[in-house]
Amino acid sequence: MSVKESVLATRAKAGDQEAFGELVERYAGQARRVARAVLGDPDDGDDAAQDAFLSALRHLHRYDENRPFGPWLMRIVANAAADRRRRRKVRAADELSESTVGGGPGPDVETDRRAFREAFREALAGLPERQRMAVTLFDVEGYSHAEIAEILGIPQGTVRSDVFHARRRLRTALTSWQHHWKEEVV
Amino acid sequence: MRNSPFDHRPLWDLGKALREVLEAGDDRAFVARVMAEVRVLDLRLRRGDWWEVLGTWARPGLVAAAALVALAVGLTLATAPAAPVQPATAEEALRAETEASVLTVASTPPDVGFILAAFPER
Repeated sequence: MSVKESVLATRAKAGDQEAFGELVERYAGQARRVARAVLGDPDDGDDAAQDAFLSALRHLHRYDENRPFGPWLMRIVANAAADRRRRRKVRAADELSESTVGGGPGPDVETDRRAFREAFREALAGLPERQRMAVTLFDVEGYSHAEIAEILGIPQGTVRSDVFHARRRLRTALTSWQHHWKEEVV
Repeated sequence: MRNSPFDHRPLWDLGKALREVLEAGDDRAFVARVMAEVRVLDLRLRRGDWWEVLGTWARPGLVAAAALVALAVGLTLATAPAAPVQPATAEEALRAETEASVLTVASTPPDVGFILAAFPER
């Protein structure tokens, strides 16, 4: 954790809105992605991420500046997103059949980037919520297993297992597009 | 654990693909939206400062008051002298001074001889 983050948090605790704004700027992308991983829908994700930032502001007095700010905030984001998902219950992404995972159109059917994203998004949506969060926090946001365990409130072994299973299922979806993917990134 | 399939490092290609589908676009607009809410919230908190303070004190205050009342009632009951039980009838008074308490649960009326025996002969 950078020293500056702890300084920003201390200033924000004292009521410095600018300092809190700086923290929001730093973590906006991450919070939105994690919330979206849970909720599927970008608008819902943004609403949940906003709820999380406001909740973090209200509970800043509970934050320990000696610990990293990211995992503390991500825990709030994960809870806010899960709460919102429970409240709304029905989302199209959640209703996707598990049979769609690893399926979807093959490279010979559609090869454009948009179709790939859509198929991959469906594969992600087909994962259980906790696996979605774990793999996003690990492979996208770069948190360690220990940090993710703290964020999600589960044992490290469970995080490892969740990431493993999520990857295996996402990999199947990714592989069908691998050829196209390589052309894009190489 | 190094050879365990569960002990892995971030995969760049999977991470990139995930990031691509999760990216929500312009963060600046989002930050502006959050900060607008922060200002509203801050204003509300400032306005409601006194209520916030009172609110935080309300519950402990009620608990303390309830504890004090319970203590006072307990002390009163513990220190109050027990009221003497006055016999209601002559027969009860007689029984109280003899071993006739068993009669209180008897289903038959008391023996007249027993009553007379309670009075010393003159």
